[in-house]
Amino acid sequence: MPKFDPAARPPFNPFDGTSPEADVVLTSRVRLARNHAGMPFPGFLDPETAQDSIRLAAEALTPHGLTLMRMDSLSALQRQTLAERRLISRDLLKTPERSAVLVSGFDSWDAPPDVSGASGNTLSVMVNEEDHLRVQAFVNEFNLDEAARIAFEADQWIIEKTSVAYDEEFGYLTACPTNTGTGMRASVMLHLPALTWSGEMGKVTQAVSKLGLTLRGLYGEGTEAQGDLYQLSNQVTLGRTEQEILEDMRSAASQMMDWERKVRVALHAGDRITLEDRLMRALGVMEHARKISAKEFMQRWSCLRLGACMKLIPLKLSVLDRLLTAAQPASLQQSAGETLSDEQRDARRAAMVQQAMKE
Amino acid sequence: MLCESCHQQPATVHLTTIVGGEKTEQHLCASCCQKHKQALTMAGMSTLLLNLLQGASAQSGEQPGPRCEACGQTYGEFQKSGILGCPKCYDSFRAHLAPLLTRIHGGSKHTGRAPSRAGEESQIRRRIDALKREMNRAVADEDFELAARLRDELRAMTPAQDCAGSSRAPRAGSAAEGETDA
Repeated sequence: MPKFDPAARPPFNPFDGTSPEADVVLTSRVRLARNHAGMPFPGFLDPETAQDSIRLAAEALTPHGLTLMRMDSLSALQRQTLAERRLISRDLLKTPERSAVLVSGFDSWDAPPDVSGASGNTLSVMVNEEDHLRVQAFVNEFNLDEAARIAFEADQWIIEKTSVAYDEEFGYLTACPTNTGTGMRASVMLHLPALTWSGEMGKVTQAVSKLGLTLRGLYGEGTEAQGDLYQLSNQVTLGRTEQEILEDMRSAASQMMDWERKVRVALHAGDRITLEDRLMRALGVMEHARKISAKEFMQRWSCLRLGACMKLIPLKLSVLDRLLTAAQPASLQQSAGETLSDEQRDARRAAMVQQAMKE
Repeated sequence: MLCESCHQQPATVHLTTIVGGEKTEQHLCASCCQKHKQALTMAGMSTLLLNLLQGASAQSGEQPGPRCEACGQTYGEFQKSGILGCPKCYDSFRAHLAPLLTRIHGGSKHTGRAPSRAGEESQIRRRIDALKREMNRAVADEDFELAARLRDELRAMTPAQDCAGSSRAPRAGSAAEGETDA
């Protein structure tokens, strides 16, 4: 069994194919809220105008290689799969009859994209969620500039073809005034197990809110921080330029990375056996259990990822990050090709984890 | 008891909300309750905004406030849902929204990017060049009325250059006066 010893590193590299910040950061995302001028916001659209809004989005974006998917043309499982891949929000699922998404870099339903780089970056544009258009660009590393570049490229495609609601004083006009101005929300997905386990997250959240930023769970507002995963994002969208917001985010995320790393070292120095026991127990379960629930998966996954970063557990981060999406309920059933009961799902999840760990 | 919202269906859902120690009760039918919930979740909003709005609405009572001419939504309705009806609402409620936006964001003046089409700027430049040519021709033809109209149109299109031009003019004038004095 490999032992954690910084002086004598085992021959494997958990960071293979990932960036230097991959020990804490999984993805960067930039989201832009845009609306058509002269059209009621989505919450007040009649069915016909809602279709106009979808048509305008498709005309602007399909020539650039994005694929249009209307929510009402997808199965419940397919919709859920898109949400698990974070290509759409759970809010979009509430009004399938009038909403759609345009995506690029979408390979297939049953082969989840490699979260840590191989399949490249992803662009999705939700239509008729809270706003007519929500452009989202994802990059699988700590690189907000690249995410912003992709998002603003898509923004330009939209501006060229449609008339976007904009005001000289208030900037981009959005259904909810909390997004008005730049309409931009930048976020970084952070894995913070050490800060969470040591009970520091209260302090972290407070520090973050003083900077006009916020921390949320894995799937956004109002969701739990499963797997010790958090989304750091900006709250303020008006009065600051996009570059200023991105700079604030970059510096806050860097500080949180340092903070998390220090606590990881402190936990290891303080009570090495207890920490290693926790991580190795997770490895035991993931390697040998025959049924793993979604909730247990997230807890154990967090341990494995930390163990890999500490070079205690010989697993690649790229494999673990791909599992994170693949082991979610809908993605799991999608790859099984059928609807599964809870018990069947848990068994299939265990088998999938063990298969991936052999890679 | 009838639903408070539609006044048609019997109220089957009784909602109690406590904000800042103040208790409010709502009696709704199932369908209105669904709409109410959807409005709340659609907002996906920060509690901050709702608190701000409810605080303000408690002060102003149940006034409907101004109405947006484009979509018909009132400011009072916005205070309940936190969601505006259409982009024109920002115009209709400008005086109310500016202080609210300042409370949320710390500022109410956008300083970021503005939408501009790639072709737009060069189109404007081409139009300016065309106007200048027409104006020169009008001057050459001694059609001063047309030349003045074209000059005004040019000024409207190039406010920045126009300011620079007019600020130079008085200097030229004063220099001329200086010469006369000497």
